[in-house]
Amino acid sequence: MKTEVRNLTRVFGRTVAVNDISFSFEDGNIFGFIGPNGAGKTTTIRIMATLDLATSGDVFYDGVSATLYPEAVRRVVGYMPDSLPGYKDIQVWEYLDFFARSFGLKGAERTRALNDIVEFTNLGELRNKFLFALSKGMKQRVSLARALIHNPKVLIMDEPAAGLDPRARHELRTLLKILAEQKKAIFLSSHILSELQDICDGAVIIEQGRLLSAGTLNDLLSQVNGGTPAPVQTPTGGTDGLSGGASAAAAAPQPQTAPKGVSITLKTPRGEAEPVRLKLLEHPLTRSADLFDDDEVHAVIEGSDTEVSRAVGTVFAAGLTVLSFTRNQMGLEELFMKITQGKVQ
Amino acid sequence: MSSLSSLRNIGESLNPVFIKEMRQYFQNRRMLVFMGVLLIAQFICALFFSSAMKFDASDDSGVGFFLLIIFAGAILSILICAIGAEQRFAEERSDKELNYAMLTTLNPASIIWGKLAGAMVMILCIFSMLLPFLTAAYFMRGISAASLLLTLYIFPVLVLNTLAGIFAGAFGQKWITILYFIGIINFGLGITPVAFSIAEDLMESNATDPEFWIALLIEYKVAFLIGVLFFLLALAVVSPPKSNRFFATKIYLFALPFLTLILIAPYYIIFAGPSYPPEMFYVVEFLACAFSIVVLAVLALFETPTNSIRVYMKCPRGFIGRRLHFLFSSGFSGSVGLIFPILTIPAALAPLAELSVKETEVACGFLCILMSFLGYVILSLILSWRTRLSAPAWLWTIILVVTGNILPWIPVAVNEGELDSEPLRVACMLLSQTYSLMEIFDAPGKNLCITALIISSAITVGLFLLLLPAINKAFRQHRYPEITAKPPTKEMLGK
Repeated sequence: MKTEVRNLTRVFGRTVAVNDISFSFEDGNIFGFIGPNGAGKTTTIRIMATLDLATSGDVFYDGVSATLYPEAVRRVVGYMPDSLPGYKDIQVWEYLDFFARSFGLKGAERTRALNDIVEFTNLGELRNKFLFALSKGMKQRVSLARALIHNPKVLIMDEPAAGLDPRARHELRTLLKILAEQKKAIFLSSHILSELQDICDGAVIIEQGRLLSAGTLNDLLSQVNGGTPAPVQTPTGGTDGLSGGASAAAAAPQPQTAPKGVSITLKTPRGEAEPVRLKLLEHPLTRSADLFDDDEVHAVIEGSDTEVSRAVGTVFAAGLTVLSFTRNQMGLEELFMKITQGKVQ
Repeated sequence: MSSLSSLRNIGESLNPVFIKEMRQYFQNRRMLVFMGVLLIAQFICALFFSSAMKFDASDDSGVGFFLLIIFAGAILSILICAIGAEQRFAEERSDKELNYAMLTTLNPASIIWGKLAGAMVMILCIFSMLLPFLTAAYFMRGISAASLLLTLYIFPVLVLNTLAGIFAGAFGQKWITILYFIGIINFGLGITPVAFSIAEDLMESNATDPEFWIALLIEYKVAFLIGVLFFLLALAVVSPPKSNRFFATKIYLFALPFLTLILIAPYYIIFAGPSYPPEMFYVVEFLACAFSIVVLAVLALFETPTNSIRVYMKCPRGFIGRRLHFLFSSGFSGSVGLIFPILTIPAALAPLAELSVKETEVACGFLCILMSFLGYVILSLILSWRTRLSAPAWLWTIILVVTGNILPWIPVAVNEGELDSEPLRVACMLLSQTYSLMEIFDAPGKNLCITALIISSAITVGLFLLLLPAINKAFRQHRYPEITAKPPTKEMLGK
């Protein structure tokens, strides 16, 4: 199922919460939604989940408008909000049973759906517990189970990992990967960018309601790591399953290309680190060289691939002991910091 | 086996919200404690009253016990069902659980129905617990068989309380909850003496008096009519954003005077006489109209117009359909437009009251006021739209109303307070509301009608002055784009 956000705008009074953003993704993809607080992520997500109505623009699921046919869209979309289940006097199983019934599941079909989802989210031991007695991580699992009870094709998640401990986050990542393997499209907002980078196929970055960048993770990172800039495509012309909107091209400040380079840590005989550091700094490609204790030097060498490899070859030829050697690349977090300015509306 | 499967089928077809509500009721510790206390208290009271009966063998010792049980049941029902429903709904709203329910295939009506049905079943459960003790009270003597019907009287009051609770809870805001508590406490305090007075009447075997039953039935009907309004308002509150949320409420408010008319017509036919003169029925109808107008006016002040694509989707494309849709759509302009036809209902019924008392002045004056309002508004709109003078319609209305009200007093002053010419008198009545009112005041009696008339007229004038520019703007903006979009597939609809 192809999900398309097309020229979406949402205005609250004088505030433009979401300003003409467009992107799309398809099933089997995990798509991250990134932006500073107040960027318009939750507003976009609420419109995608049919909880709110856009001022202009629309969201399409396989071409079916979420504005015009919200009832049909709700059958194929699962929404996991940033808030947790709030009922106090109801058991986990009863809670899920309520939503299963509300989606029109009857008899054996409902029982099967309940059992499957309880098993998938590992809620078996908790099924007879009251919701108020659950921890935050457990409640998140219940929330995920609720979003998946009707077996949606698209799963929209708003800050699913917020406040979870490392183990719960790891479990969530695993579940998301399984869901992606089941050919579900997953769209999630998160502030934990390092984890998003591990699981996401693509990302959308917004700030002040405007789309800054959208595309596959490789394309996005190659923009800042010096590769060929990712082509920006219209929503209808997405070719890779993940595409950014045409409006993004005009609105987004193009990220500056970061210079390629390597970080290198050298081991020297005790007391000889300083001369080595000075020697390294004499080289025109050396960006920085720092001492660690009195027998280690950490240097950053930048330049084109050929230049860097020559410089590194010189180091090796000098017979110095190389402790570590890493190619410098920007991650999602660095990309986010580089292209956003931390502005809120 | 077949009965089991049919029970299962019934279970499958039940409203999911109702099932959830029942589970919540029976798993709520506070509620279970209340029920337990009620049982114990009843048992103690039964012992007390039965021992009292031994010492004083009067014939009415069951009456006190009976009333006490009913009163306890009513209080408990209000605590558990009405306040409980309000609290739970408000929590669902603030916890956003209602949003998630709305993301399923449930619609707002099924959510409200489910909550109401849950509360009703709980009220029945509470009164079922009372039943053995009520029966015991009956055998203690002093109660006629008809007095057991008293329990029926309490139900519409409880349903109304519950619906008000659901309506208040639908907002999910603390200040509404506080208002609801204040309202229910005052209502409780106000209704208790009335309830006991009716109960005592019933106990004294006045149940054969038809006036008692008229009063009881009218109370049922009032409870029903207001209950429906609370239901529709709750529906409006939980409706999704940018939907035509007051559509059903407005249709109901428009129909309310007609419904009242249908409901009071049988009494008019059967009981019209010295105790219930025809103008009493006219006053009831007039009050229904005033109620509709006031609620519409309040809606007009708080509604925002919803020119959303979802509203357009459901809008008829025909000339008449489109205009009717505008009238009933959410937004102040339509509400104000609806007030006019409602105002004409009592005007049309005025001759009924007039026939009985032979006072043509009231009906005539009333009709003149209505006609002058309508005339002024139409003239203002025409002047605003069709002239090149830049004054908006509301300014035209002020100029016309002020001028029209001053002018008739000139011939009155010239003729020293009396207008001999009948055509001049009628013209003055048509032109000036103040002159019409003077004519009405000169007629004897009908003080209630006149007071109601003045109040509703003042509301109408105020609204028009406030809202005329908005009416024009809103109607011009009410355009309906042609919508072309791919419809969902059968698979997507789950068929």
